[in-house]
Amino acid sequence: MANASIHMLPMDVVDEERLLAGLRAGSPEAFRSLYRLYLPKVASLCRVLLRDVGVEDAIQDTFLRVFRNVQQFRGDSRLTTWVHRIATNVCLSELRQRGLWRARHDDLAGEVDDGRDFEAELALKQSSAQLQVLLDDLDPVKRTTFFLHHVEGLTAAEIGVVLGEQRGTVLKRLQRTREDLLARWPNVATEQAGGRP
Amino acid sequence: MSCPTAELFDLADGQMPVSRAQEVRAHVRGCADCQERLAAAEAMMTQAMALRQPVDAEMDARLWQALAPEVELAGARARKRAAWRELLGRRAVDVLELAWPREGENGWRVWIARAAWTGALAAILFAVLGPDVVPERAVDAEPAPMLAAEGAADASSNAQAAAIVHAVSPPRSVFPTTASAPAGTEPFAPGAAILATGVPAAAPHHVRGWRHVAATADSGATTPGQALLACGAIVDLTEASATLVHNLPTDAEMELDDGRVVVRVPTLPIGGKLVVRTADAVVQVKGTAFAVDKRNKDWTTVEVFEGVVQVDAVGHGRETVQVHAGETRRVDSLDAYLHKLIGELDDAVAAGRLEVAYEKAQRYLLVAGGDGPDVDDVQLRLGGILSRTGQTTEAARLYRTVADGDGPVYARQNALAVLAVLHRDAERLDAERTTWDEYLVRFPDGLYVREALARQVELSCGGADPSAERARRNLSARFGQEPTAAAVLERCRPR
Repeated sequence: MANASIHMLPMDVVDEERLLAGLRAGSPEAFRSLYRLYLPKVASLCRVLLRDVGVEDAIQDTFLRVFRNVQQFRGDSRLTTWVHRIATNVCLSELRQRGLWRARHDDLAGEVDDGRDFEAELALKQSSAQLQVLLDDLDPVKRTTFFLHHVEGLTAAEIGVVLGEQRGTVLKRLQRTREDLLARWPNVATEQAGGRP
Repeated sequence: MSCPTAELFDLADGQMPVSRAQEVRAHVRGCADCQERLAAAEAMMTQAMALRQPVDAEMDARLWQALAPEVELAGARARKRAAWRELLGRRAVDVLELAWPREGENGWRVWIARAAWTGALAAILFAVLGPDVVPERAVDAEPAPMLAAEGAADASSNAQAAAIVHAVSPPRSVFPTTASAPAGTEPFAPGAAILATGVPAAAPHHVRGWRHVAATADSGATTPGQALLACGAIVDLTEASATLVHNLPTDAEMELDDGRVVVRVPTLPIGGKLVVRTADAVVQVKGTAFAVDKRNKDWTTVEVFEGVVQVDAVGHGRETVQVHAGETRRVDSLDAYLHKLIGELDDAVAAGRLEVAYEKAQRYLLVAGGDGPDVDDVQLRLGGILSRTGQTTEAARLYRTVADGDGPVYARQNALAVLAVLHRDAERLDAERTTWDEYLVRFPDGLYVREALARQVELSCGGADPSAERARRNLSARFGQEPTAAAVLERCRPR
């Protein structure tokens, strides 16, 4: 059964306290472990928020900020929350610069104009990636909330730390986002999901 | 009962408590509307998992290459901060950082700031300690430790003097300017006034490849290839590559990356310690002569010539031994040790010695502390041992831990599938159904999809409700051509 080659996480450091101790002592291995541990998470978040444009720059910027500021991390939240907060800020800042902050609820035909590949999106939509397409149409903050909760497993309180909001606000947004997604899911009739409590 | 969107998502996401999940599922089975929405939520959750895609190797390499210089700088900053913290205390560090220039800043402002701070510190130390204890710049011909030994018997002022002298002479000897220190790690600007105060000895030094450093007459070392630490210890680095983590008169620590070092330690001040770390062992001494050998990747050898050293094997709960003069002790690396434990565990299981196997598994988990390369596998083995000895509740808890952990996908899949089988054997059919449902949501293309779908059909055998029909449809669509699946479908046709 054992197959060490397919382990996904760095096995030398997974304990957050040990990782932080190494970072505070300036251990290069600790920085490497931090990078290896959080690269998949940061990359996924950046892809979801930025799609494929500027993802690599955003990842790099995130880790630069993490490395530069890790000595100031006081442990008030989990390390993963802190890293996600930095990544989220980097991506949202990038979106603001691009002017893509507002949600777009255009139909697919309307999206051809902003450089998106209609054929590719249609193919995506017809395959098993409807969610990706629906997420792209959401407000970035809603998208972040949904992703951090359902993919990264962060609690509402932790997402509140990431976004600088109250837990209740996050819960409400999460609820609205789910209803919104459900309402637009292909096999669910719009009127069924729209008025749910 | 209504079925709020949040509950459907919690159910689909596997975040709902089992008892509540059973209630909601019971409702969903009789509500076509909820079934449709639950199916959508489940599909959404399945696709949400696919959003976590691996980073391709090329991008990974590019990113790390771009980040490497920052890692070097950040590491140097952290080490500098740690050294200052050690020397001055936490609050002083916070104050210092307000004005101390950051790495990467260049130009006259850096030099002025550094000069100002070093001058101020020198003045403070001079005022506190008095002019009579500040040593001359020249390196003493005699090694500093002799002063430490005398200072122990003399007045405390002598002890202070010893500390200062220690701090002055060794650093330049161990780290001559030809050393290949990474950019930004030089503790102080050349010629800074602080060099005369002894403070540099507290700064962190991270110099790999001491073997490339040619010791000179100015170094204070007795022969080429040797180095003198602030505590007075003489380290023979002829065949070694090491990192000096601390170099204080009372606290010296080095990390031996590769090769063999021979250390001769004088009597250290009260509370003083010298530590040599390798990946496998921590060797702590009080005053002796010994050698630490890390030329083999699977173990470290400690040989003691005089006195006694304490050797702690790396890993929680591993042995601590005293090695006396004339003795040699080999410490296996953590990986080698864990590998051996797994072999012993499997042997014990094969021989039916479950008590021994249980002890080995527990020991592995204790030593690995959650970090071992096969922790998930060992937890699964331990679950098997527990279930075979009738401790099914404990086994279920362990399987759930693995299933919900961050381990590899195959381990999480196995844990969930075994958990479902455990429920089946205990005739907890609702729990089994819920577990298979969870499996299919989390691993729609997993190793045990056929088993999961077949059991779903069997668990609703003969039923005509929508969920039973859906189970039959799913099994038929994916595995209908296979004889075992066809037999299940035939046996469980709606009545």
